[in-house]
Formats: sequence, C-alpha cells, structure tokens
Amino acid sequence: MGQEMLLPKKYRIAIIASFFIITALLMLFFNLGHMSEPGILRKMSLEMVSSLETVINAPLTGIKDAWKRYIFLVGLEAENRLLKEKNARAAAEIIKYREGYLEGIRLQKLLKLQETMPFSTQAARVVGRNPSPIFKMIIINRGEADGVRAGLPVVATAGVVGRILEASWHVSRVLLLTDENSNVDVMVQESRVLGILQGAASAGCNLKYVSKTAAIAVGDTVISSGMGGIFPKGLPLGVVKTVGKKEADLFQKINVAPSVDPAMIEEVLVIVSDQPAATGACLRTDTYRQAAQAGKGEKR
Amino acid sequence: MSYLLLPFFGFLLIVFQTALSELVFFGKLAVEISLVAVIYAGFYLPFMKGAATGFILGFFLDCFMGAPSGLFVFSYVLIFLISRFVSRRVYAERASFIMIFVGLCALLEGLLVMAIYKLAYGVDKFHHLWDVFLPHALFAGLLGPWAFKLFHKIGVLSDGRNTRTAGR
Repeated sequence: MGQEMLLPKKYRIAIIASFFIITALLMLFFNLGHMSEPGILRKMSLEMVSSLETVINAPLTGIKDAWKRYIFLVGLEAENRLLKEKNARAAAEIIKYREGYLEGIRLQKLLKLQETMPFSTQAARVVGRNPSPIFKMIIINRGEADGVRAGLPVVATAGVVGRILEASWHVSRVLLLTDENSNVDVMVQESRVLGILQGAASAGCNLKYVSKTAAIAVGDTVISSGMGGIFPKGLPLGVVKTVGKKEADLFQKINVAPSVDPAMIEEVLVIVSDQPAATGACLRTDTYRQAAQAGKGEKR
Repeated sequence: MSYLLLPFFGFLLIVFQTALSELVFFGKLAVEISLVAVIYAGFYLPFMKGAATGFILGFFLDCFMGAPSGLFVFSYVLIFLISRFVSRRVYAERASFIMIFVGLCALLEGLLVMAIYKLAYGVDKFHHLWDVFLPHALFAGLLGPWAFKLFHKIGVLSDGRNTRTAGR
C-alpha cells in the first residue's frame, strides 16, 4: 500500500530494480577501486568467520579422532584393546609433547626474527583459512586493537607471507603471495634485476616484466625491492624455480617457489611500523639466516 | 516485520552453507544454497522482498568470502532479476527445469566473478572454470530441486502464505 503510494504502479518494478542494481554497482566500483576501510557489518562478519572456524574445527577433530579409534580397535581381544588404548594414550601424550616441543622451536625462530628485525612487529597465530578455493587467504588473531591495519606486510621465519587485506578489531585477513591478486615489487638478489612478483595459486608465483637480456638462473633468490611502498627492502620472497625464454616474447617466463609454504604457516609476524626502527637503516637479509639457524639441527 | 528478519535469516543461511562446505567438502566445493534461495525468490517472492533477499545474501557472502563488497551483491541482484524475468514466461515446477536453470545461473555467477576480476584487476581467473566453477554449477543444479522443496515447506522466505502464489 505504502509502496504504491510512493511509486507509480506502472514504473514500480523498474524503479526498484534500478535502485538495487545501481546500489550494487556503486558498492562494487567503490570497493574495487581502492582499499577502503571495512564497514562495521563487514568487521562483525570477519569476527564471526574466525569464531566459526573454531567451532567447525572442534567437531571435525572429534570425528577424525573417533574414526581413528574405531579403525584401530575394532575386532581386537579385550586385553589387546586395553593395551592398545594404553599405547594410544601414550602416543597421544608423546604427540602432544612433540607438538609443544615443535611449537617451542617455531616460536624461538619467530622470536629471534622479531629481535633481529629493525621494525616494530606484532606476533600472530593463524586461526583460519579462507573457505573459498579461488582466494588464497588466511585469518590471523590480531586486529586493529593490536595496531594491525590493512596494507601491512606479514612475514614468517622463512620470508614474506603476504599483506593484511582487511582488519577487524581482533582478527585480520591476510592476502597470501600466491593469491592471483597479489603483486609485489621485487628484485633478484644475485643480478639486481627488478620485476613484479604475481601470485599464481597452486603454481606458486610468476616473476613478470623481466627482460630477455637479464641473467636469471634457477635457484636465484627473489627479495622485496622496497619500491612498492608496502614491503621493506630485502625481505626474501622465494627462489627461482624455472626460467623460460621464447623468441616471440618480450619478457622471460619465470616461475618462483615462495619461501613460505602457505599450507604450513602457523605463526606470523606483522610489521606494524612504517619507518625502520633506530637500530638499523634497512633490513639485513642475514636476519632470516640467523632466525633459521635458531632451530638448526632440529627436525620439523 | 519480515524485512527486519531478512538479514538475520540471510546471515544464518550463509553461516550454515559455509559450515557445510567446510565440514563436508573441506572447502574444496562451495555449497551455495544462498544462490538457490535468490533464484527461488525470483520465482515465488514479491518483487521488493525478493530483491532485498538477493542484496542481503550477496552482501553477507561478500563478507564471508573476503570478496570486495558488491561483487556477489551485484551477481545476486542480477540473477534475481533474470529469475524474475524467466518466472513470467515459464512455470518452474519440473525438477529437470530447476536443475538446468540453477546450474546455468551458478555458471553465470562464476563468469560474472571472473569477468569483474579481469576488468577491475586484469587478473585472469578463467582457468578456474573447469576446476571450480563448473563443479560448483553442477552441484548447485543438483541441489536446486531439493532446496526449492525445502523452501516451499519451511516457508522461511514468506509471511506464512503459500510462496508458490505469493509473487504472482
């Protein structure tokens, strides 16, 4: 009744349809153009996603454990079952201690990296992976309350992980290097050749716009050039895996294996300061070597 | 009153389908019940309510997927309008028709997402057509008739009336 009074019946559907389409397009163009501050609804949803991940993972682990127990124990004699239960309990304890031990090593490496890095950093734990198969992102348990904001670089002990895409109060979404939307200004450490490292999903990353005359070899290290304004100079990003030169192409086809395996990331550091700290003018690449050596001789 | 409840039920639906996708398919295949809900709205809900449903579900999906706000909003509103247009010419009761139509809409959604990414960022996601979007469209098609029946029964999107006649 109200709608009929406000809008002429003849044009009502066309007006409503135009309103929704124009609003959707405006939202899309506004958000595609630049990295905007997420709204309160979006922030609340991001908080919910991390809570949801925790809720989903709990029964999933329970189901997996129950299935394993069933497979191991079915059809066995009572004594044997008791012994196996004892054994399973002991194994679970060992796994728990080993997990704690490995976590200790990882955190030791991270701490070493944090201490040697000339920037102010914030340690974070990975609490979720993006549910979509086409976007390569992770969710970490640090947000605006910890000084984390969109655009900040995220690193791990082996090298660059990605950058913060959006941050809510207590969690943030990280765009991984391997996401196809990720582009980083880089430099090949050995030949000092500049290029753009673009994500290539399961294929790792591709180093683009490198001239055919540039000397690039398999095994060369790719580091951040410091020119993009996001990543400080000297952060390791990956190693050249394959190099291809074709007569018809202007540039070389270079595939790069990222330093950090996105599937294995558990803890990260977010570089929260824009300027280098007073202790060093720029990042030393041996910082990562020192961090890696902190747990030298220990098996992962 | 039903407009106030729409965001709440929309949010619940997106949470449910995200949980289902992760628990059953470990995030490898998207279970998009929300897309079927938008198509259903195009066929059976009043115009204003249907368009609002598409808008709200699209917005929450954008938030949960980490996509730029407006990407799924635009896709859903467009799919709603297409469904509305088709509903004026076809009586959607046969399961085979629902299957094909939902599958085509899911494919259209995928193509829209890929085209917008290509236009806006120059990122080519077209190679995902075979490994992501086509399985997604097939699964959405299979899900369609079952979800239509479910929406008819629970009448969540209606005011308690028979939704099959509400939008006509």
